[in-house]
Amino acid sequence: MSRENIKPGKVDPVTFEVLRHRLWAINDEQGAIAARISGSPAIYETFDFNIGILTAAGKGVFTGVYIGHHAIPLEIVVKSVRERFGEDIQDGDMFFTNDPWCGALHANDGVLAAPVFWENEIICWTAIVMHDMDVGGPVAGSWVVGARETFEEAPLYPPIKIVRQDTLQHDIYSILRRNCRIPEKNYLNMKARVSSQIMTRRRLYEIIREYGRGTFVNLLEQVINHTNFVVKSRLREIPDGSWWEYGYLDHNGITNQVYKLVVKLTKKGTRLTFDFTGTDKQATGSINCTFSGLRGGVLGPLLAMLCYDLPWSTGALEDIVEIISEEGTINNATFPAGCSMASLQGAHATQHVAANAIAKMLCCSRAYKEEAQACWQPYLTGIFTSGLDPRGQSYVDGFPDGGAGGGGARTFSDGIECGGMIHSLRAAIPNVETNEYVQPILQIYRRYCPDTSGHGMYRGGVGLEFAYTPLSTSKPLTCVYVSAGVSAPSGRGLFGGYPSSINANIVLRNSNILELFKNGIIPTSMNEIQPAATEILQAKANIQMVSGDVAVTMESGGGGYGDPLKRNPELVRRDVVNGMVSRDVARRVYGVVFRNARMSVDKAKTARLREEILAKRKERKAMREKDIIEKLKAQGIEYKDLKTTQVVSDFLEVRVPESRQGSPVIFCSSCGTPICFTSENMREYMARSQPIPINFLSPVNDFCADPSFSMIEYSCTDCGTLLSVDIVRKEELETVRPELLLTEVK
Amino acid sequence: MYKVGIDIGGTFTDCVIIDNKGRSTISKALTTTHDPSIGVLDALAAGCKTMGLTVERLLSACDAFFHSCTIGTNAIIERTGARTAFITTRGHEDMLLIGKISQKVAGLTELEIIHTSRLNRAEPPLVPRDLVFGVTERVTWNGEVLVPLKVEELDKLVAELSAKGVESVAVCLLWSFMNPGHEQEIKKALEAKLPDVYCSISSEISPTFGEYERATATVINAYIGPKVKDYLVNLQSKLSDAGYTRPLLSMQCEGGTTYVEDAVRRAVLTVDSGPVGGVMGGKWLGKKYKEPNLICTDVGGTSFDVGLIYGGEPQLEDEPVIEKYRFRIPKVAIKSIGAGGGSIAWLDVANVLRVGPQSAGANPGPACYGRGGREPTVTDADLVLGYLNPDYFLGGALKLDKKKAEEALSGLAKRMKKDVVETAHAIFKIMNAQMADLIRKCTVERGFDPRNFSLIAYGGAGPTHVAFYSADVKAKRIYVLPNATVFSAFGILTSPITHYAMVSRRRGSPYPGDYCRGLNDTIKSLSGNILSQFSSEGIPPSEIELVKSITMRYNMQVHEIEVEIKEDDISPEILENVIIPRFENKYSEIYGTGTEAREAGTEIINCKVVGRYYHLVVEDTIPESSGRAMAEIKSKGKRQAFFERKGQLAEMDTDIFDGNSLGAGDLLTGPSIVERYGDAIVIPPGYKGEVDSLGTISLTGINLQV
Repeated sequence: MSRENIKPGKVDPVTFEVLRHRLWAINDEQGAIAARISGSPAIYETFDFNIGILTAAGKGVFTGVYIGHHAIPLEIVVKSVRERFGEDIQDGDMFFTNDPWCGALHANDGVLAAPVFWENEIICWTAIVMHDMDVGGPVAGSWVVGARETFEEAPLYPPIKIVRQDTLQHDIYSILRRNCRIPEKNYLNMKARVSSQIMTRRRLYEIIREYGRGTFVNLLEQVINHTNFVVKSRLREIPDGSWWEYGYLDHNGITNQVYKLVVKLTKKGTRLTFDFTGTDKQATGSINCTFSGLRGGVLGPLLAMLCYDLPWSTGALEDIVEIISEEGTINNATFPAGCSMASLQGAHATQHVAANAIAKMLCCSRAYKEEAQACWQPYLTGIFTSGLDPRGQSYVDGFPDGGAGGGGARTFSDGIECGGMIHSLRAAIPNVETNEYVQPILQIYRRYCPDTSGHGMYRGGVGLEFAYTPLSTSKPLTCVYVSAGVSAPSGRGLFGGYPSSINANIVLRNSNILELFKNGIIPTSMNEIQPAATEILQAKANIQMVSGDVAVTMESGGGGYGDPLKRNPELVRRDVVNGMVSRDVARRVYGVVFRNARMSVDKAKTARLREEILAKRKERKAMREKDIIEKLKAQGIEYKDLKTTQVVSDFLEVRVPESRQGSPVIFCSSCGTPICFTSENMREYMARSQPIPINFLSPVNDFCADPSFSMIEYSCTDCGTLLSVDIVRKEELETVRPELLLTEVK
Repeated sequence: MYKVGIDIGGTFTDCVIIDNKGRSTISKALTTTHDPSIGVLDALAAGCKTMGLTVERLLSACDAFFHSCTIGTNAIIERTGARTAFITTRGHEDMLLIGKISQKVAGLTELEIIHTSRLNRAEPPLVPRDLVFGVTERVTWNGEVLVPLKVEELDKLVAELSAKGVESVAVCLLWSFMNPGHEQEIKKALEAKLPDVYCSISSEISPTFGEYERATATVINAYIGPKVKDYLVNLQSKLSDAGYTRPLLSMQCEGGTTYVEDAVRRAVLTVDSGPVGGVMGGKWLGKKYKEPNLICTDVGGTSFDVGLIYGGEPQLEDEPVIEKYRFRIPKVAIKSIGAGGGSIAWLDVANVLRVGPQSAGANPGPACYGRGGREPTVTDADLVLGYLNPDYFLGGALKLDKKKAEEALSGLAKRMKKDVVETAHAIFKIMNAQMADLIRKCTVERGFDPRNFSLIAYGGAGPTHVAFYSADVKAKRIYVLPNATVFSAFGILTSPITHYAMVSRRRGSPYPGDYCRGLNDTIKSLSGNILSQFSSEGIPPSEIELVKSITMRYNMQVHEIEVEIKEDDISPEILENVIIPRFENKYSEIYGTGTEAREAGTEIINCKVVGRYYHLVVEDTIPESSGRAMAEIKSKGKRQAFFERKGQLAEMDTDIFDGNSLGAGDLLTGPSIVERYGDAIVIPPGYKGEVDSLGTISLTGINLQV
């Protein structure tokens, strides 16, 4: 029997709902317990961990809502353990791995997976993933800027039986301890992992005792089946078609080489195929991710946008999602590729393109359009520091403030300012006081960064800007920067919404900061600080900072939705007053003009300026002459007689003849004119701009590390409404890359 | 002499009056949201009427009037607090808006969090962006001044605050808990120049590590302070006019009560203090029944609240959340879900039955209220199952329409291919399971096993469901209280008058002699302050229970554990050999044996002293009945009610009793139902209910441990 026909029936529906709720809570609690025990701010304050419950066969039933990419690949971990240990898996065993070819994300993200036995048989698995701040290797923090392959990074441990009879095996564990710089902190994390697994098992036993083994095992299957059933019923409401997104991953840790990612999402019935063909080969460097990161990057945003009221069961997506990817590429790297930065690099690279492809698909359905979100902060800047802490002890830590980029615009409102990343909803940045207690630094300022959001009718949330300087330390502070999206704006918008700004990291060397303090001045932007020299960092850097140096980070916001000229001028005014958007950008991008003194919107001038911008767009040529009206006429159809059947965002729509005979046509919703058949590349029939320098979008983009990227706008030839935006490299300027094709009309 | 306790709920204001023989009188009046003091006096008047006294007569003989103030909580929820400005270290003005980026999920359940497209920060913020001001100053991690406060700026700031019509100011500067000098200077300047503006500084409100949670506590205090002050002062004067001669006592969210003058200074402590009353009542009851571990459950119309008493003490949370603001004030931990009598049942796309979190509320209310509600709710299910008497809901004040309940359920029943009663039972079961899940969550997350707890039930719908949800968690014993519908008001009366003081004394191990001496001095001076505060209120030191403690954790952990200090003189040896082991015992109790990790090093964070004065003697008893068996008790009659027997739903003849006709020692057996004003106690088949001298009915049964 195909799964589709199974409705919750084996376990009666009431017991099903009762136990589903209870199991879901148990999974959540194993995370809460672990977070309390851990001694690492990365865990207890930033929540850089995750948990999961899987079936005996290793299918994911529940994924926690901490770092999505951690737990989604747990299926691979359990598979690796089962393959390696076969019959040699006993009650009370637990398996540790940090090997990206065995389901871990990268060396720092240590997984502990535990079989749950009942009557001498495994009935399910539980697992927890936690980020340890250092796991050895040549660079403190284990993010190895400069490594060419995995042998130059921290040691990897394929699944090892680190716990027997619920007891940590100290002989084996001593190997891990020996190979890291912070054994005490990692030990607390290991204790937290073990303890959470024991407690979770105890709670699962309670259910089994109460309801019986059969009910419990059926229940896990049914949770998966239920989620599978609901997701499929949702997919049936969405038309078949293909959606593309493109992205770039910059700097391999050695040079600023830029790697391209392409995804084509094809939906047919209840099946989703994510095809990454065309993605660049794996890098000589540490930015690759293995299949674990690829899977995490695809399923993370899919769960967030399609399973918004369901348990995040990865097992439920098994016969729904197919991933096509060539081995040996940047997000499906083969051994011995460097992967020490996989979590922030290959996995995020995958996610930011996959997320937008999914969002575009959802925009094609009236029922699910509201779940679509433009790209949230695409990449974050991880800053990993080491040296002497304020009390003079040597330490390795870092600050995750770079994870405070903006949320993506929604189809009905702006994105969340400093919303973070979509796959890590519970993640937090620490208090400034925590940062300053753990590291010998002073955070001079930390605030919203204007002009970092993707502009649009609804804009993305802005990202964070902060500056820090070493304080009272006798030893230079070592800072490893792991960022991306520094060379090209990466947080793409939807349907005419612009991409957010790049990530920028700047070091002001030998500045007058201490003098400013002495004179009673606290700067709140980098312009107020005079350096002897300014270093604009590339996406990866390993730097030393001494007294007088100041480092500034500006984080990307989220992508925008819809043509910014459609934004209510009063909202633009509010943004300018609140410092989210600068006046220049308000004028240039939003076409809003203010009366000088009172900062009120000059309605007449705004209307005129917006008309001018639209007029300029209308002067642009399309790649192909628009001939849809004639083509329809040839079929004996008057385009005005076509009736709208479905939306493609709020700005495009599909219309068909009333008889439903004949090919469906895409229309511009703003002016009601046809663009092309849904089976054609619509961008080819839109007015296409010349390459626009990316600093048009934001002054932050002035810090861009690669001049070869520019923006192409596609707008309606008739009314000038901006409908699509692409970011391209110089050599890609000639092609018009497709965005969507629909093969079905709902 | 009389003592009065008042709790203001969403619909009703509850009042309990206790005389000096310990006898209690309960009454209710409608809550008057625009000015709750009217409802307070109405409820009081209703109680007086029952007792045959005038309000003046009662108040002039009243030596303690207790009250949980909801003004502050409501002001936050409805955003009707003072026009508040926030002053912080220059460069960090966006602190409250950024909210550590996790403001968007603070206080939400996992189910709410995963709906990503609907997440938002606290909207609108308590302080708008244009009322945030940075001041030039900077203190570093060890309390040293890096940049002195620029006093010249303050004049301009004062002018701006008054130009913008600011009514209240919150000040939180970085590292002010290490060095409060700058905050104090600002406060002094504001008080001198803007005497009408309410001023709160973080080093007084929440002097602890972590600027965001310290700032939110301060901002909440500032935001609600003026309103709370106006309200309490107004109520005090109304009561004084009516003859009350003592200062009013206000419930605090950390579990104590304090005089009005103290309460208006730290208004943040009134936040969510109402439900805390119930838990404190639980503490009192636990002592009475020698039950050190109690789960306190309150089932209302829209929410289900759970609090814990462990080892005789209510469990606190360090960082409660209100309206997405996580703030650092110790508060009696109460977890809440949207599950109550009004919760709506629905079917998802796969035809799986779900209950809540949407609620029909009080208006239109459940379908059976006959006020136009059409959706099936838990109350409708309770009625169809025969647990509620349609003619005796709220003592007959509201007639329930069983037909309407059945109609509302029939749609679901059809789609589920079940009959109406089966559907009602399915809703009943799912609701009870969700409540059991919350109880497990509250206990397990703290490392407790619910099987080591007994359970008390209160709130309108608690007694109907308690036998069922407590069976799910296997609680030891169930107590259904005589005054279940006004239990929070009673609980407030049992709460001690409390003063506490806490300072940060952060240091990692090892702890040298001079640090220990400092610790001793701190504890001594905090204790002295507290005792003198009590003295000034006329309470002698001999009557005060003083609890001294430090909070500890392993190096760099965030969650601290409170460790009591019983020793008068702490030395490095005592720390090492007595206090750290005490910490580790408590640690392994919470996180499991073997989780201790002394090699990680320990840290002492805060030093805390709490003084409590218990003032209440209650000996309210009901007449002895010499232990009648059920057949001897006069029944109100029989009704058909449905119970699950061996997996099958069975319609059973169920005895109905009037709560007022029961005497101490009576023994009831299930299936039976006790109807009282405001609630109905369901005793399922296989259960026994024993009435004690307080009028509490304790349930024991096959599905429980005993």
